[in-house]
Amino acid sequence: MKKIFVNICIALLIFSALLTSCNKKTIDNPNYNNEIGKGVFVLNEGTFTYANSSLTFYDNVADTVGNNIFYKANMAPVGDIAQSLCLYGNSLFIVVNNSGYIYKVDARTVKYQAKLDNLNSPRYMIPAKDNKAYVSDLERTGLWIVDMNEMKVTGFVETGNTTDRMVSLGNRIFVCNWSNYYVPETSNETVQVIDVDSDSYIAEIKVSKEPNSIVTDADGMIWVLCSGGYSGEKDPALYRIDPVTCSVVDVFRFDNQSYPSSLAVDNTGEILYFLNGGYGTLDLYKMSIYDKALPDAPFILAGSRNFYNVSVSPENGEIYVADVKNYTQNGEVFRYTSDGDLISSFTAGIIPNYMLFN
Amino acid sequence: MMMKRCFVVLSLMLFVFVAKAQDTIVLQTVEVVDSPLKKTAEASMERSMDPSLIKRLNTVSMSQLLIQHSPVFIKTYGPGGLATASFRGTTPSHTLVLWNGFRLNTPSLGQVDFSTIPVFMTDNIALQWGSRTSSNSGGLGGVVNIENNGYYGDGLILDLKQSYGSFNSIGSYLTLGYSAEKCFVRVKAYRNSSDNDFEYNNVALIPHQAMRQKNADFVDYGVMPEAEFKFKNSLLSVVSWNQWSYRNQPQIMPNVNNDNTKEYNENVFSRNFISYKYYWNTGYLMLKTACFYEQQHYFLQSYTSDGHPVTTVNTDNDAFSFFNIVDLEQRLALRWNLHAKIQWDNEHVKADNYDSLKKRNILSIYAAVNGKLLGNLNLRLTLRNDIVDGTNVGLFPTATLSYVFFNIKELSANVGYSHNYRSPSLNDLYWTPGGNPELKPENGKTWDFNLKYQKEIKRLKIESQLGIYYSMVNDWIQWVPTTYRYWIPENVSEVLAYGLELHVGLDYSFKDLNLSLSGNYVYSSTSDMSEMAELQNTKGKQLIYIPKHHANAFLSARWKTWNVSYTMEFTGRRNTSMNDDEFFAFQLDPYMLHHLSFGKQICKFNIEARLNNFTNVDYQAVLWRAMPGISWEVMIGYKL
Repeated sequence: MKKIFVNICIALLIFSALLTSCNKKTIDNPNYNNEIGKGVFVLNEGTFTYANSSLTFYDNVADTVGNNIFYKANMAPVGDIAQSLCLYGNSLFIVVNNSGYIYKVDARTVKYQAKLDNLNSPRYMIPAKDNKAYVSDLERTGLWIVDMNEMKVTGFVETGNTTDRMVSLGNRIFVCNWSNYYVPETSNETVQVIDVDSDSYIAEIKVSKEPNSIVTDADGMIWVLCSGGYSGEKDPALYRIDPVTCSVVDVFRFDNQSYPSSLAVDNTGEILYFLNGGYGTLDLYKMSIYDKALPDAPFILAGSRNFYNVSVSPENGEIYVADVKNYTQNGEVFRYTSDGDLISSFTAGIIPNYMLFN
Repeated sequence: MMMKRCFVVLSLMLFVFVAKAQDTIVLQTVEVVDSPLKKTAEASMERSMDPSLIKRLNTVSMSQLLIQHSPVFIKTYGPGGLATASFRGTTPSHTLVLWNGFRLNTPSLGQVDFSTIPVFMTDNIALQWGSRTSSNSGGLGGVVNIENNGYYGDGLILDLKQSYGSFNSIGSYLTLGYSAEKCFVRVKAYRNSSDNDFEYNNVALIPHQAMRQKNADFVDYGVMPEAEFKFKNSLLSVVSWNQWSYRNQPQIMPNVNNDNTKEYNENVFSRNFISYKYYWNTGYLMLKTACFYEQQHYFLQSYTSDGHPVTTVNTDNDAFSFFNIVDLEQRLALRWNLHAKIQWDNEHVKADNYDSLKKRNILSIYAAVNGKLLGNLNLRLTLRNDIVDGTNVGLFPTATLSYVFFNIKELSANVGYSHNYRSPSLNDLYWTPGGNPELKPENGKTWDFNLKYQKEIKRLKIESQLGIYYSMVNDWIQWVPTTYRYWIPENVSEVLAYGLELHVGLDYSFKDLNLSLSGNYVYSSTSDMSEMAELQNTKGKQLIYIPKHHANAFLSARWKTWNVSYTMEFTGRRNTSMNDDEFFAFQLDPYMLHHLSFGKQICKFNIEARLNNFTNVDYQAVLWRAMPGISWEVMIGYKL
């Protein structure tokens, strides 16, 4: 009996040793060397805490799409909730919100160049001057000042409110105070103005609750779209703002059940696009900056699609609309002419959101 | 820290003291507890975990026991992290966990974290499915039934265990009590902690790098006093299970370089029950009442680079549950039996994420009859009617036919139909924002077929079980996004789950040698067949985090006072999203883990050494959650 038991022990040990020696780690190397030309980057934000964000590139001339290009080039994920992109020089910056960092990659190969860690909840990045950029943050009351060459934080502009989408005009940055969820005592119904030369906060413009998108038009005016709050009961509106006087010129009010978002401007700077609707569906709307009222009818109906964001090509005015489907599978991007005719569509990653034209 | 040291020192002192006092060999007693009225049909829809295995693994968590030795799939976030069970292709909220007949699924979330159930606190663990789950709502996938049992006439009970392992993992377990002829008193107490700072290969950083896990330490304390008194025709039991745990939450792999957040969970619970059982020759009547209190505290804070707090999420969830059960079993004429139960549950939850205190009342009336239909053919019929907050949820019947083959007496088969429901969790109903008070209960119908073969050929015992199931759950609750950018739960999915479970067990004893081999293989197909899924092109795709294949095997050899065992667990490919794409983040690779253990009994001492994941497999059970490679653990135990 003892012999049998000892033999079993020996057999187990040999078996274990064999298993251990068989366990050689293999690293999949896709040898990704594709160079990126003209087209549009689509950043897919992915599911919260799943870190399944990804980067897609669509070549609009060849009508070809490459998905997961960041992972293929770097063998690592983008991170958790990739929020926005920023192009500066030959580098592409990827702001990853819930991972609290910004990746800097080569804009042609998407190969890793540098990383800036330890931001709290970064949202958007906007180049200011020289190598300086501002980064907004959902948990911090102000803007990070970042050196894009060194990928280092060089300062912080305290504004008193959390910061979100931005536009740059002259030597001023206009930043939306979109949310006070994480810092409850602050404002979520203002647009703040930053002087780029002095890195200081200089003015504030009162708008409706949750200004979620901001653009500049051909007349040098600023347009701000406010959803009115996440339950939609607080005065959703579109504002036209004079950037010089920092005052509201026009207000276009939506009905209370609306939830407008994703304001975009076309290549002429004269046409605005945005999403709006009630519970369930957001359709695409179009209006001229010279219109005296909000459009009554949608420009493109979503139907069974789940529109999430809109972007317009600065080259030819083509409209790109992201459909996130059920938020847990790959989304799709629809490409339309400025007349609303569908040109093509392509599959992106999970929750396609931010789009950047190369 | 001070408390931890005191506990370890006290345990060791007690150890030495007792060790000196005793030096005779005592073999471990193994009780096989079974209800005298448990019938063939019921037994074939249940599998009890081997009591000797429970005793042997009583320093591990229930999640580890189940993933290594049962057909239940456990989704684990790593040591000390959330571990939830998926039974027969359903989600964790469809796995009902009963402790001595009382529901452990929390009213808020509807599921159970198996990492917080130490095997040490239990005496019996059984898995139940089909119509065996019919006496309660919620177990659409199945039931994990945990019980505590008293035993009599054994005198002083003293059992001490101390374990130490990799990552400064320390476990101290004490059982002290007295088992008289008519009275059983026992207290179990334990402390379990780990720094959990294992080394792993972080494949989410550029470049990949080996690093240590941070902020994953945890500590659990528990104490469970029990008393049971036997009278002439009755039995009175009182049990109180109290536990406290503190668990740091580590960052997901891509985020590890951010040192500006602190996240932890602190949970406390006290589960208490009293039961009185009056029995007679042909049946019994049992009255049970229980009161559970559970507090869950979640904390998340982010900081500036110089350490000033920026934002804080600090939420509490307090749940009180009261259960009252009247249970009757009675043998009827012609070998038929009746089981009837009336249960009234009352839940109160006060949560920071609800706008007010939320309550729920559930009245449940249940009856089952079981008996011989023809020859070797048995029939079991059950019917339950539940009333939730004054609304009648409906009638839920089950029927099972079981048959013992004439020519092969060791072979039995049964075929069953069961209909059950699951109420939405209170989070589904009342979470702000998004909670949907209009939700209907989920409605599940299951057909299953089981074959069981048990035979003893001289010294060899064979036990084999095959289960095939097909179930449809309508009004499956899913959180769906809205244009307001928050999600709300709706009864949108219709989930079809089918598959098979195969279990084989062999046991061979000859003189001082005992060899045993057991294994489970599970095939599980689970997909949403609803119109919405069709619209979204996800119809027929495997639901996320439910592997199509998983398996485990256990080989053990015992000779005199020596023992050695090998355990294998295999988890197949899992989807993390509803894509066909083979992008790593959308599909997790399959993995196979191997564990070894060696043990030796010296007088009343038992020494055991374990080597976990000895092939040092680098794997992810949940996307971007670090898992430990090879680790070791030594354990020394003393049993009077």
